[in-house]
Amino acid sequence: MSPTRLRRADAAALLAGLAGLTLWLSLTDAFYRYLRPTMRPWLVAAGVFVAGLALATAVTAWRESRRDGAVSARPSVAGWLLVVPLVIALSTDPGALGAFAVRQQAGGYVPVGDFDLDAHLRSHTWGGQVPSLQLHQFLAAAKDDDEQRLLADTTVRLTGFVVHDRGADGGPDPDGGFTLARLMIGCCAGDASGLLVAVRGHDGPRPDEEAWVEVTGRFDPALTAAQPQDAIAGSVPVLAVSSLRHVDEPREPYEYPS
Amino acid sequence: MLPARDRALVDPAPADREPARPPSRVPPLVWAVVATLVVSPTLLGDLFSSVALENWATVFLSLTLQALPFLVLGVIVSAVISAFVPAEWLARALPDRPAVAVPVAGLAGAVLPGCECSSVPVAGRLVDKGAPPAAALAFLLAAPAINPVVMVSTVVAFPGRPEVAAARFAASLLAAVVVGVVWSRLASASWLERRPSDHAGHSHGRAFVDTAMSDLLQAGGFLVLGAALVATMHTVVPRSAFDAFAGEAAASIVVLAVLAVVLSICSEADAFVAAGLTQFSMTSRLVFLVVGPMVDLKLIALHVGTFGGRFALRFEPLVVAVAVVSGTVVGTVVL
Repeated sequence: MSPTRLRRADAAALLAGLAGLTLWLSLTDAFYRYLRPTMRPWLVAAGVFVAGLALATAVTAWRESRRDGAVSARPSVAGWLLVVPLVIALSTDPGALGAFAVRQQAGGYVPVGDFDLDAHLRSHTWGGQVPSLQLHQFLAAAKDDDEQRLLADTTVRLTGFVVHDRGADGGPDPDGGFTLARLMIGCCAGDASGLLVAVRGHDGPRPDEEAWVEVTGRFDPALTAAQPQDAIAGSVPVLAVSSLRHVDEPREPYEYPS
Repeated sequence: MLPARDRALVDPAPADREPARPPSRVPPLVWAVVATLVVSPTLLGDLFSSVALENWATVFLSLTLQALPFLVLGVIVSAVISAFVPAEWLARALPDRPAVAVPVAGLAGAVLPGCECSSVPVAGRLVDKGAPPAAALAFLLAAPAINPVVMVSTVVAFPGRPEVAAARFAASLLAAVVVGVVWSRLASASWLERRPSDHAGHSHGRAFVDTAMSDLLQAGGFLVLGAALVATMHTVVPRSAFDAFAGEAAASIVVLAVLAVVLSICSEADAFVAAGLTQFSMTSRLVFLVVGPMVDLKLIALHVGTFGGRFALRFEPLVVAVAVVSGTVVGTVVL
């Protein structure tokens, strides 16, 4: 059985579409919803190469059409599937992963690497400003027996989005509690892990789910120990919050392992 | 019939020697659908307002984009081999005996600094150029797991435990070589779809463009299929579904092998996920790192696209079995 083949002109159009999609998503800030920043130059280079290939294929197609009419080239119809990402991106332009992805992992696998809180604080504290930590740094320090104490004595700033807690029955949490979350990606959004910090002691109305907030507060070891154990990640560390304000979604919505 | 000079650039595989069919009628229809969806974005936009579908779309696009630079790298290497390496040169360059050629090809995988998406088109081209299939397959399996980029990310993901990266290297190379040797003994040549390239009468540049174009469209189409499948699994199956088995040694090995296939995480990033799977044993996490770069949903799609369905049907189970055993043995001894 001979596979149905693409016409060369269609092949050129498909490649042009792929190049356009790649360059669009790699040269705009939409890029950060999908991949980690270090991948950016490689994606741009890939887009440029595909654009060149599309052009070369189009030139060949044009020469052939002038010579002897349409000629089938080799690729099979599988190439048509390349219009799918183009259509999805153009018509839906999806946002960064959020609360749904966090829940899907139910606590998430949290890769906790090496983190020296003391050194970080010394290099990030000046002018009386509250030092900010990334969520994975906060989690690493909270799980380290030596650094827990220093963390509990230090007021820090964390930025993430809001995930509403669920009650024991899976319904809304009667206490109206919420968790600060961020997703960490090693390479792309397909390998995301949820980073979670439970927020306690907030007086005002509970922020909406998925709202981006900056919270200030201290790690609370006693409340953390009293938390119900999460089946996967152990206990989620608790931040006793002293202030909360809404912020814009950051340009880079994910955190990255160093 | 095509004019003779154009037949040379058409797939000369035996099945394709028949006269070319008229161009397919698919194109106008596809373009019409695409135009409709793009012109009236609300059609799909409303559907994707559900958080689950939006999650699916983000994961789908990110998997596709992430694989693209590596696929392009693989396509370029493949096209260079096709256009510039004389036919049968590879067959002469590689040692005759499979017992030597297979490990050499597996080790050669260390020079391709990419993940699994790069090695598929390259291995396909090696077969087309007359390399022994067993050797090309050992390369296919070893390259994404033992190259320097992946080794470095594994060391970074397991701080203070470089033996994890060493065990990954050893277990992956072992599995690749064993699969190659078994394949050279048992496999029938007809299981592999071959598409020997014949660029007679064309310049090197034309040959490069033709090969790269058709490889990229073929592999790219199947990549989209694989990414859609994986995004669906990510969106539908919660990761906690696998946690119930964490306590049992044998079950956790099987579960993490299945998880590696389902999650289809790029080999440059899978070590970070494995590092977070702390509730599972080290040996089962090593199995996760050995199986993932060799067989996963995305790769199965790419294998079907490159080597055909009959190949994949036999190859994937063999690889999973060998990789699980190799990871378990090396993990038990080293970790």
